Amino acid sequence: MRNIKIIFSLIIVTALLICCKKKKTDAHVPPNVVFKTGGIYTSGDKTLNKKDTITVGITATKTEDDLKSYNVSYYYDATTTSTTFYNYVLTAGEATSYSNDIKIIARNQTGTEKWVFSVVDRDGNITQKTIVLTVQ
Amino acid sequence: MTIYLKKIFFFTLISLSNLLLAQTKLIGSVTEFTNNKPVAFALVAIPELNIQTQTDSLGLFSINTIAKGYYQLQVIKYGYTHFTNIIFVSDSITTTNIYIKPNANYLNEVVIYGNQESKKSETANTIDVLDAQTMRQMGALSLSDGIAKLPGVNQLNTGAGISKPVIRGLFGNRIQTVLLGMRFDNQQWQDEHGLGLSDIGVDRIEIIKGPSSLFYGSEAMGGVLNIINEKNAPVGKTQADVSSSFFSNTYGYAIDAGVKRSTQKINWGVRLGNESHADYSDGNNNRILNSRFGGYVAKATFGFKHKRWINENNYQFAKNNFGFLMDAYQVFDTPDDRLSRSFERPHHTVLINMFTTQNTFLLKASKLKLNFGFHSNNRQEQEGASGISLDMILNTYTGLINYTKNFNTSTQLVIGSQNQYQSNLNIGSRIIVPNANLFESSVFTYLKKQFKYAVFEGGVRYDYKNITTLATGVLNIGGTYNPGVNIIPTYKNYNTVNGALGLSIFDTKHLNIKLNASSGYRGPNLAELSSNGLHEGSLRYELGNINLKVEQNICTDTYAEYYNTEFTLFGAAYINHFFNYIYLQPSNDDYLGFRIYNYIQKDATLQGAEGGIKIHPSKLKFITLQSAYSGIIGKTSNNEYLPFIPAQKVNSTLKLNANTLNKFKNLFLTIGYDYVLGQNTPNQFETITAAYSLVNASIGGELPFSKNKFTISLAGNNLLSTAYYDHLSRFKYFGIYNIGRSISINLKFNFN
Repeated sequence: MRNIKIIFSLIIVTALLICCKKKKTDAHVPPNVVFKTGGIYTSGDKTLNKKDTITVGITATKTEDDLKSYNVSYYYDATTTSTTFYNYVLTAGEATSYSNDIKIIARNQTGTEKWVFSVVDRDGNITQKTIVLTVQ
Repeated sequence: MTIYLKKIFFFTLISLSNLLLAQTKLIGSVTEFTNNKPVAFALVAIPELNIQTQTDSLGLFSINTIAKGYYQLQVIKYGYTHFTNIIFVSDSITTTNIYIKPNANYLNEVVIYGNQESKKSETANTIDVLDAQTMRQMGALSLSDGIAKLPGVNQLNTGAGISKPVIRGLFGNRIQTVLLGMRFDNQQWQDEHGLGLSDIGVDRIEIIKGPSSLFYGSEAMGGVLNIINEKNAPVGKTQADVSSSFFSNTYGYAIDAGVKRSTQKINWGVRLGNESHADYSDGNNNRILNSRFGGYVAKATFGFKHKRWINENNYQFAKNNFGFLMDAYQVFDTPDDRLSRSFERPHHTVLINMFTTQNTFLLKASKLKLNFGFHSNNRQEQEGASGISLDMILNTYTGLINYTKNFNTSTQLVIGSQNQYQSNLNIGSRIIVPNANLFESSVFTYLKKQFKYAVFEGGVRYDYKNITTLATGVLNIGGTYNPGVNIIPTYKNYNTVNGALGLSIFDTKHLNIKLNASSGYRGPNLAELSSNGLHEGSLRYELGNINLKVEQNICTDTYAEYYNTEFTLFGAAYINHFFNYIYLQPSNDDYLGFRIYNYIQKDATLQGAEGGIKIHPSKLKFITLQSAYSGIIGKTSNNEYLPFIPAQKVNSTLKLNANTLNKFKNLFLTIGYDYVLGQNTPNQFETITAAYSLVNASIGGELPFSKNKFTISLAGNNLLSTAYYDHLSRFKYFGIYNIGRSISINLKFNFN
């Protein structure tokens, strides 16, 4: 009977030791995304004339997880519904670093256009950058 | 003549001693039906008393019971039809003479349906049995892998280590797993969460096909996987064993050792095991990076008998790691050492602590069972970043009250109540299902009436289920870095009535026909109710629906078996109709370019058939040829095919047996051919899967030495190293093939 107690105790102690070993927690740091600056690039809010064309470029780099997708959407005026302008699933070769330029042509009417540039990593972490264009 | 004199002497001696000591005792003999010869070393058991003994060299046995009453008596001997019967043991001594027939091909095994043991032919339910030893001899990598060769059973796998059983096209929250007599919940709501159980310390698996909510409650819609741990040692004996298996494909091993002892009053046992597999290689010998898995198991059991109380306590600990791929291209990441078992890359860690206590009280003419259990399940997922993202603790508390009244040896009434409380707690940095409390309570009644050539059984059950989701914070990370969705706490109640009605007809010589109608149910799971966000690693945004109704099904099932000395024929057909079947449907909306999938409900029907033939010529007793077919179709009410429906398959096996050869015993050689037809009716978001065939073989035997035994077997699976996709492989969509050739060797030493 004494042996049984010893064996039971050993199993429980072993189990508890394995249970209590804590693993490091994922910090969920989202991808690093910056607007390209200088030259032809627009990297901040801007006032445009109707039908003006601008170029917006982003560079995204992996932080914790591989980069997964890139999405550009816009909201016209005060609407809360977005429309996808460009959507792209990154390839394995782009999982660490990704760069993209898009040309935006302002509407032929006055108002505001909010452009949202989103990069999502494999873990679902999202980084969004926004530019607001005022068309006069 | 000498044997008869010894028998008379034995019975007289035992009878006199027991009259003096006033004990309740069952004594008897086991004799071969055809020639009246005693059957030595047969296992004689009364499972509900946790008592086992062996017949001696004269076929005699003696069992001390603890109270008079009706008991299920079983006699098992290799090469003979299993014997089981309800007997009445009186206050003093009961004698019984049991005759068993030599027949290795028609075992009529003892099966368990809702705490009740009976012959396979004497229940209306279709129940398959697979013992763990056979699974090992077949070279199975896991428990799910082992049972997947049975007709109507498959596995949904994500590599070699992560797999979950599929019974007649249903899996996850639509089948229930029972372990240590308690419902086992391993966060089955997600496809990539495997069952995660090994066969270490397991005696056998019983698969109840079809809805079984009458006894098992929620989630027993497609069937029940009842994992039954090893038997206790025979009374008065101490037994020990050491097993090891080695697998060529995964460079894997499994090793376990156990010791157990039983006396008239107590029984105990401990078992420790460890298994470890490196990455598997497919049929083209390409390594599938990070498909490794491994873990530890510890089991302990302790039971006692005190007056009219039989107690059995079990504790099980398991810690397992399962590597996985989140993207197809990860298979091309820089490989580590071929034998590496490191879990630095994405993996699941599942920690199980489970304790159950099962108590039977023998009342005057009835039995009361009070079973309680606790299961702590900690699931951690490292999803490719620097540490653990998902970290959930699911605690489950169960209680079962079962009152059984045997009016006589042929009529049995069961009244019971099953209760369960669960709490799900998130402690990780990612939340995909909310913290929640779930409570279930039920009452049920069951009646079984046995006639000379038939058994009738049926019952009805009422279930109440409550789901309370708690303020957990934000789903899918949210907060500092990401937009997220706050969980809105909810309180949902579900009430359901289920039942079963069945008839089994048998003529004891050639025929067994079963007719069964039964129902099942489940409440929506936490993901179906509350999902709201991107599913990590996938390209979809899943949206739950808090207003989902309870899902219910009704299944009608027929089974017929004809057997004679030359062959056995069997066939089954079923229609399983679902009301409010829950599934994911893509919408036309998107979120940042990710398509939004909604959980919706529609009626659905699964229908299928299984059948086969087993040829066992009486003049060539060493040969058995078996072939079994299974096929299934699943559609929603608007005629869309359901996802993950297994392809039709035909498993054929030629088995050669020899009882003895030189010093070896129970030798076998099997050659198997599995043909899986193409799945040409996939769900609209699946692709078709081509047909494939696999050749398997195994050989083995036992070598007795002194009172001990050494068992060895060698198994080869996918011997031709075919590169194939199974329709139920989730790696198929990464372009990754199933496992290639795998040779395994299995060694076991039994010490008595």
